Amino acid sequence: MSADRDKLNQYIYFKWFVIGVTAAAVLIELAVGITDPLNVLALFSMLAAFSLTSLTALFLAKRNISPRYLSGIMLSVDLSLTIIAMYLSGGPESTWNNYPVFFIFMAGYIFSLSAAMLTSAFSVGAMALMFMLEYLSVLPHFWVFASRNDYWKAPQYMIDYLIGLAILFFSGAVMSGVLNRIVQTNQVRTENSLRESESARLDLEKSRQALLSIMEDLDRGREDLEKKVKERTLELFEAKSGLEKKVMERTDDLESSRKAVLHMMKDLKEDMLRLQEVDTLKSDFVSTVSHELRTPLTVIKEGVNLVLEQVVGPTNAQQQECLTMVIRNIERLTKLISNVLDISKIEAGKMDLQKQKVDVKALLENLAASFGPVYVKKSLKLEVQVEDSPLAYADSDKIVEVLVNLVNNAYKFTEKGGVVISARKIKNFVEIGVRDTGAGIPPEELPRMFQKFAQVGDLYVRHSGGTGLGLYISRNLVEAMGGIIKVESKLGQGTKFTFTLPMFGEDGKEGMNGKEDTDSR
Amino acid sequence: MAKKILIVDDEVEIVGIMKFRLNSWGYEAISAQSGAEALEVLKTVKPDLMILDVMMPGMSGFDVLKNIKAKDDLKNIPVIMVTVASSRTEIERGLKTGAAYYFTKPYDATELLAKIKSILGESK
Repeated sequence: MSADRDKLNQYIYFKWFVIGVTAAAVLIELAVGITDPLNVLALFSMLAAFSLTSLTALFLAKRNISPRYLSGIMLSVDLSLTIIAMYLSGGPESTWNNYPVFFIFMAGYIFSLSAAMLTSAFSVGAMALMFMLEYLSVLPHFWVFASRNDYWKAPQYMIDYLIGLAILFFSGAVMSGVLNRIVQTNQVRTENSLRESESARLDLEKSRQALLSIMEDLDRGREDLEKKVKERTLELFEAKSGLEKKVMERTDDLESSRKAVLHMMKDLKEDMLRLQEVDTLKSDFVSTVSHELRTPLTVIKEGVNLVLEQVVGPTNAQQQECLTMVIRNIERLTKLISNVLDISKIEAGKMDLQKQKVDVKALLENLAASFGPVYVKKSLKLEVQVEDSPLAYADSDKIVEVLVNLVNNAYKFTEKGGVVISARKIKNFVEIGVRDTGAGIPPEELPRMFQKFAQVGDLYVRHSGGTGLGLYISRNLVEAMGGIIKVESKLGQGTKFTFTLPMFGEDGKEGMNGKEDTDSR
Repeated sequence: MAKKILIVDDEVEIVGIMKFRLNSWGYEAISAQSGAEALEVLKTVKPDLMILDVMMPGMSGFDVLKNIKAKDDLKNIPVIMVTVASSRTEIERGLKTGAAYYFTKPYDATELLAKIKSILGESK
């Protein structure tokens, strides 16, 4: 709408321009003398007519009549006026003949190419008609203006002229169309960019809204986070307080435990000191008793021996017999004291064993050698049978003590035949045996053999030298070394004592505990 | 000249009976009844052998032995320790300290003679 308005205004301005220029040109011509006042008058009338149409259009435009409509009306009126002016000013000779091109151009500019073409056609047609009518003298020929040529009579001239005019008019139409197109394109482009910028503005607005909502979300998120952080901090703080309290409690507990432990340790220390005192007392007792018993015995034994050996003077046979009895009983007493002291040592835990690698074969052979003479005297055989050269891990002196006890017993209870001392390896221990061909032990006595003062009827104790403690001590010694002692016997056939000792292992210590193994057997 | 043997023991009768023994074997027996007395005697007399009791009040046999072994003029005198207890540790200790042999009471006279003879380098 406003475009139409603009175009109307442009048309009117253009007309003012043309009117002004033409008026000026005519006045100049008048001044110069090219034209006469009549022409001027006619011309000014035309110009006034054109001005009138413009003013009318302006007046009507204010009354809200469509500008497009007004443009069209004005165009038609102006064109008609022009054609009339052309006719009145000489027809083919008129100088106004070119002027329709402006209106054609305007038609194309304001309306469309088609409108322009139409106007061109109309103009050419009107003029052609006019020329023809004039030529045919149907219409009278007027010439208001100066030129008085007779071109209106020359058909060739008029045709050429018309063709020229047609070309001019249609060019104008085309150009107006082009201009219109350009304007339209610009308009369209402007509209497009307006639309684009509008849509861009809308997009921007949308983005802004989106951004705002995102920021709102972020803010909300931040608030949530802050709230959560506060909550967590509070939780942590509470947990910390709880932990601190627990730690304090634990520390208190630990402290009281520590105190209790210290107290216990003090008690234990006192107990230990007391035990050590008792231990020392025991050791002292054993050695003191030992000393007190043995000292007088030494004097007695030596004293009697000196007399018996006639060192302090001659003695007769009866005296000798008597003193020999004394000597025998001194020896018996000595043995008893030794045994009792051994037992008291064992029971006080003071029996110290020196465990080491023992060559059993060598030990048995040495023992047999020392007993040999006595056995020979009684016409008894004494054999040693050892398999595999076993090595034991034990106290060799204690082994000798046990064997002396067993071999002595065997000697006492065997009248014919002999004694065999054997040794062999069984699993992880060494088994040593002393077998005699004596009278044997009744089965009911066997369980009590290793007890204190075990008696086998009258036989056992009566035979000289027996204290009744030998087997008890032997058992204790064997068990202290990690073995087991046992006895088998058949009345009339003989007795066999066997005891085990741990075997010497490669690591320098005992292999397996002999006791455990025999248990499993 | 008869070889001198010093007997150190706090029991008078042990000393007495041993003196009988040693004299019967042809040795000259001298005695001391305590460690201190023994050291006094050793200042003037140098025996060929000492028989030393372990269990004595005051200075024990071990102390005397250590003392003797520390003195240049006494350390070469052979010492036989005599005691009642046959504790292994005591025996080892004695032998380590420098005793030549170890006996328990009551002793076997024959064994004692054989040991004395071997220590003094006499034939049996």
